[in-house]
Amino acid sequence: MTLGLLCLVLGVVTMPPANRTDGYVARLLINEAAFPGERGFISEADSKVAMEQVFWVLESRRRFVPAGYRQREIAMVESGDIVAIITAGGSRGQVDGFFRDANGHATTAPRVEERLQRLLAIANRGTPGRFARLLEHAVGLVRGAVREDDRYEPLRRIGEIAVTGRGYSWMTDRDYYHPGGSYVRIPDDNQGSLAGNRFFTLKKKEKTR
Amino acid sequence: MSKLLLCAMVLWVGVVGAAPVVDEAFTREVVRHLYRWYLDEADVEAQVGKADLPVWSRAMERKLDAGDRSRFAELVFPSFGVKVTLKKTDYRIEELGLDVKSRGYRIIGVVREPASLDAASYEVTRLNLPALREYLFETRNQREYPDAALAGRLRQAVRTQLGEQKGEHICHVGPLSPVSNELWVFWENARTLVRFSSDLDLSNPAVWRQENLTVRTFDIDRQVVLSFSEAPGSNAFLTRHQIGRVLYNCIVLGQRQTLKPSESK
Repeated sequence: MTLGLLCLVLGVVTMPPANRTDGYVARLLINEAAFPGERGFISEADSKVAMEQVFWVLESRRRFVPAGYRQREIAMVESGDIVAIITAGGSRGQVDGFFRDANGHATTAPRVEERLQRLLAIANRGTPGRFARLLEHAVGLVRGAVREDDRYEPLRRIGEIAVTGRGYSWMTDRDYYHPGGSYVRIPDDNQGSLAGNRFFTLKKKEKTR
Repeated sequence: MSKLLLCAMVLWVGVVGAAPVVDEAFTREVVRHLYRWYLDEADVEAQVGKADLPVWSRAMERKLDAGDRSRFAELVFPSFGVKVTLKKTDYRIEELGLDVKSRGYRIIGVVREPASLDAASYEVTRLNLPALREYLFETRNQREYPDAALAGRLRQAVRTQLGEQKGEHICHVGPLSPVSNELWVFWENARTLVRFSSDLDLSNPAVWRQENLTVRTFDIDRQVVLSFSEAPGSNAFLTRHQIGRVLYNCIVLGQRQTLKPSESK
């Protein structure tokens, strides 16, 4: 019996440390999804899908660079390492609160860990409920225990714009503004808004470089 | 005052179909929120000479968790190409033994999405535009501040964000909105914006136990771009336009507060 399974049976939610890849990525998924009581929360299912789609953005930047684009254009780095994808960009960091410290170690802003510890404390009160299930979902996604299809992969057209499919970016509470570059807002009708986040795909390019 | 009352009486005209999901007074407050936080000179100028402002509304069906009685709605302002998503929160967090309820609808999203707008699926009403313009002008500096209890909780939350700091700290607290559970603070010494938001009404003490409060900070020197195209794909920035709005609300319309060294931690 693995430690994770033992914890689940005992009703205790734990989180892998932030210095491990699964712990770091899980922290990002948790950080980007609204939990009950937080602005942007719709439902447990909605927040789980938000985590899945954030994970798919990372995977798409890492493994599915669309024709006509270079990885560096969409990920600010050329790498197959998911932590490098998250921390890419240096001073123009790709993900607010997730960056490399002066020693080059992947780290997070203090508020990220503070919120996680708060969520863990709530999750471990009494019978495991929505908080516990959401935290476990994040870890399960990163470890491959949960597999869901990328809901944005089939997208080929948004309005009049031909798009590549897949999500390549997300933003929180900045829905009113254009995301910049070749990004195209995924509308509500295509589940583009999840747990307080707006997701974006890319304009399709006709020519391969 | 009587003038404003008269305005209110004639604002809500031309209802088509069933009653709208929100009333005229609430819709007016939503427009005031947009006017303060989102709309530009160009949006206002484009309405000059028009008699009314169409407003489309509808209730939204969302798949919710068991026992969640929250309601959702949309308001669309086709003249601006703006869609506002609203939520009236009503659910329980079992782990905290907490009922999460808002007294009315609150804004949870504002998006410019003109391409997907279609009047057929909405109830259509019209605001009397001259009266609305007068209302917006009369109330452009109106501000509601936290009461003593909320101000105390806010100061504690700001102190938590300040961490270990020396000396006096100046904070500018933006006004509260009756239609949004979001509050901005400009922490002058650190040149940082702090945004507090929640699914609960901010006047609810439970918010400030930190368990239901989302806090985000933005360094106004480092996390600013003129356009998101300067850092495409990143979610770590605000535009200069956004920061300007926040600073106007915090400094011009907000309350200046001094946190003494003894209060800074």
